[in-house]
Amino acid sequence: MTSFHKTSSFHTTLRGTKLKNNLIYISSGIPSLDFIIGGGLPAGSVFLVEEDVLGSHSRVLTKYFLAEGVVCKHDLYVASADESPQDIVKELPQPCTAPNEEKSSHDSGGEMKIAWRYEGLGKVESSFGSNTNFGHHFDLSKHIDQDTLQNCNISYCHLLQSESNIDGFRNNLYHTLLTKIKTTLSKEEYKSCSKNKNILRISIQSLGSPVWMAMDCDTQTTYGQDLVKFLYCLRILVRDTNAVIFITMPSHLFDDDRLIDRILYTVDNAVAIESFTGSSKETNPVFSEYHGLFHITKLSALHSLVPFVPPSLDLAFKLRRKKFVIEKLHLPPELQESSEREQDDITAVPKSCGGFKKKDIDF
Amino acid sequence: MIYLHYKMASDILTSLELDKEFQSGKIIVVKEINGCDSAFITSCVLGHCIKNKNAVFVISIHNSFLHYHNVGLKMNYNLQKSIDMGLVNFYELGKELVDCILDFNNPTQDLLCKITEKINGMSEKHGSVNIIFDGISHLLDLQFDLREVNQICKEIIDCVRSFNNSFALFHCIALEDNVTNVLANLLAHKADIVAEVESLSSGLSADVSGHLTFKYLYKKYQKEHLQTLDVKTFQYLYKLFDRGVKLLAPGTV
Repeated sequence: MTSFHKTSSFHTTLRGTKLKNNLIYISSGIPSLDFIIGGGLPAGSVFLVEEDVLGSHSRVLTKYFLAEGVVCKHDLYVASADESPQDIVKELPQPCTAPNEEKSSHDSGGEMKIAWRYEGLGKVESSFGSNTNFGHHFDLSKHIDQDTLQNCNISYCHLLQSESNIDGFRNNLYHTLLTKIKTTLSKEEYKSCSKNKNILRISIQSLGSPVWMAMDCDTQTTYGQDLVKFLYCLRILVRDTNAVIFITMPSHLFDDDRLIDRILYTVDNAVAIESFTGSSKETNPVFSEYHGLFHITKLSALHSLVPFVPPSLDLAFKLRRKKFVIEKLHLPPELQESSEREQDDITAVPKSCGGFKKKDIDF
Repeated sequence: MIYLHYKMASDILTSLELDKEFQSGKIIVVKEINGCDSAFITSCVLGHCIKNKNAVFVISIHNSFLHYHNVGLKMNYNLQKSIDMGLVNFYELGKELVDCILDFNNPTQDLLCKITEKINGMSEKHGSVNIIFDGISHLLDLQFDLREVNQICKEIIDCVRSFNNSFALFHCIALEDNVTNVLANLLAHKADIVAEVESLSSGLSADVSGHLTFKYLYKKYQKEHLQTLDVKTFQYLYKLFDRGVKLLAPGTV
């Protein structure tokens, strides 16, 4: 093997990829997520999403990840121990041409005039990745039809617990999934040096849920040992291949808070979703525009010394009817001139009534 | 131009005292606090060894060869070429251990023999070998116990101590209230120089990458420091660039 080889000519032929630091990057399906983690998901890496309490938002992220794969004709591998992986793939969002909502918001903004002293300031960009060509836009209200899915190379892995005892792991699910992934990754097209290569998107749903941790509950001393070991094996298996592993994990269910730190050491990039549903933040007027907070918990510098530094760590997300967006967290503007505090007024009535004005009160 | 690239790593090399000649082997431990990445130290040290034609044995469990190779190309050295020449032996131990686990073999068996065999092979050829062990804490993830990891480290340290002018560099993560912290402290106890890499408590910044603290523990036993209880530590801020690292005095940014 020679020390220097030109690889860029091969990479450009792959759909839905770009090259950075001599490494292939793919899109997560959400342009704003790609932007805040440094341009996408690097091939041969493990991406972790810490689920929100109900798991509904992390599910949306998985769907985007898989839908992007369908559009780019990447191969998919969907694994889950909790539910049938076929069900996860059933309702993938359909690609759409352009984000319409962005335009309408710009038009309405045209009527307002900026004070002269602020005109010279740079425009505040709170939504990320809106002007990128990388990745696609999807419409969550429409689903990709079954015919398109059938033309795609999708492998399913529904893990079922069995009594068989396996050396190495106490819970046999881990070993079963690792061997299956290893077999899939050994195919020629997923090797980084192969000529006819394709990207493999591996999605593991709710890793670390009670089914996975069933064997760990009785022994506190080795709690989560299987999980950490599994993730390390996964990291090594996927390294230097054209596969990307996308894991969602209900970390709020873990008995041991320190477990997540060891997990974060093993994965390459990680984010956490904190949904407002059911929490006290749901009624807090500061967060009224958003559905939850978005935390970046780990960013690695792969093939480079300098890790990506996102423009802000105060991030929040909105789940609209048609799309999921991550934005910089902004406090709502103080528009009322009353001396009383705005939040005192709003908390008095349910939010759905749209607040109330003082003049409406009769007494 | 080459001089400039070299300069970008020189802060780290001077702080680790690798530019000085020393009599016996030196043990350097890099502690990663709060999950901060310290792979940049390995890249700087590898570059130094390759330029000075010193043999290096890299045992990597955390980062891949391709990572170090690509970073090396930016820092103006070619890791692949050095491996082809036999100057560097890059042992991807992680791969071997994972294969063992998936094939139901016990990975702890004869691991130590393999490592010492490789070290001895290189020392016969080059006289002395420098050893870099990257991500040693992962051994705990793979269900090695502390005693076994300690045994491996002890053997490596013994090998290096027997060579002239060589070093062993261990990278380990230190998570609070965790067995990894115990391992990191255990290694730090044996070390001559400890470097602690810590991310900024306030989050990420584009101006500074993190804190770096050097502790020169070997000085404790020198005549001039016998009267002091604690050896002075050196604290810096560091900033990573595409081609190297710069150390900054606290408060200068």
